[in-house]
Amino acid sequence: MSSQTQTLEEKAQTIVFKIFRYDASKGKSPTFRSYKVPVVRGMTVLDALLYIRQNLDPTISFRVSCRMGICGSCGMLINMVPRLACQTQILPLKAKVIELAPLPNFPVIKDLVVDMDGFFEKHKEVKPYLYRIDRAEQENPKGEYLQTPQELEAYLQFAYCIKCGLCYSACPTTATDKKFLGPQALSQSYRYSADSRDQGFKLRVPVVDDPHGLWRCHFAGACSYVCPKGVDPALAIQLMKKAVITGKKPLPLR
Amino acid sequence: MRESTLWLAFMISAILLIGFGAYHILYFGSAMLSIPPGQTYHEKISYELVHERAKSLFFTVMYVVFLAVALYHATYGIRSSILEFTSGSRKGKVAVLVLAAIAILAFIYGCYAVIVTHLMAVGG
Repeated sequence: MSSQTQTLEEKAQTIVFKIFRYDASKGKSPTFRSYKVPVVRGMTVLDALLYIRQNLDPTISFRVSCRMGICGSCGMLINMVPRLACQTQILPLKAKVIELAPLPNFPVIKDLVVDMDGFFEKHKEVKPYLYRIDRAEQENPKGEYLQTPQELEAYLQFAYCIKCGLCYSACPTTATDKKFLGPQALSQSYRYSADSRDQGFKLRVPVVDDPHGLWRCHFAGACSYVCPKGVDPALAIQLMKKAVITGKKPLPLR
Repeated sequence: MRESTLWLAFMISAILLIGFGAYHILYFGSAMLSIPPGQTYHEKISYELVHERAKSLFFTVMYVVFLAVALYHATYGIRSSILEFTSGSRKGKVAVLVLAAIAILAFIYGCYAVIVTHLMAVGG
């Protein structure tokens, strides 16, 4: 063992991870199991989970892919707040016990893995792609569509969405209304409608102007608070409300 | 009807409620606080004055509109809660229909009270 590793181990603090354990296929009641993990500065919750799986319990399930906040796979409830495990450092949480649970508002498959099918279905409903009325042009574009910086600015922040589901899990309306489209899908309806290259605004209006669409948003703002990419879905929803009321495609923000 | 139209009407009703509510409160509140026109609260709700006001077409129309606006606003709010908590189930849809029926009945009853009072005051 190198002296550097030794120093790290000496500096390590022991943090207890209480992790939600449940297997839908077995149908037993969920439980929390505790694991002690040596933690050093810079370690993330995902590092701790990988440590647990490698050293303490290989049966624990969680999603992971990029490990750098881009893929959106490792969303979970960390000390009651939806966060990405790969972006959440342990020591700044200032807690001796860290509780990990699956994202709320999603059915649990196993442990920290949730079923995101319904979430992606809602996402698809709002036609999250650039739509051209000319179908031939849609399939075989003749050239590039140029945008001014102002036109880009109109939707840019909403284009950073990584579909991790944190906003959806934090939303109080999604918790009560299972049919509510949710902040992610609604903000994406705005993202594409506000894009100067898109002509699908009128197609999206009937989807979002629904008893379980835009108008059920209470503007709690939890979606914007938890977004790991700095997207403001609550703002997008308000802007989409304005566009639907006026019946006009959103214009670049001033 | 489009959901956005219902929501817009809900917002407009909120603004109107502020106006109607403010007028209602200030009219009677001014009497309570002995602000001009100088009558006391008890004078203002006395039978004679109520009878006098009931003759006014302005008061009659205002209270019918006030009633409609308040009922719409309240009904839309309750409908939103029902839609949210029932996720569009059949029970929820029935509850919304029952709610709409109650609101319509309440409006008819309220209009009846206001209009009959007006007609009695004008006639008598």
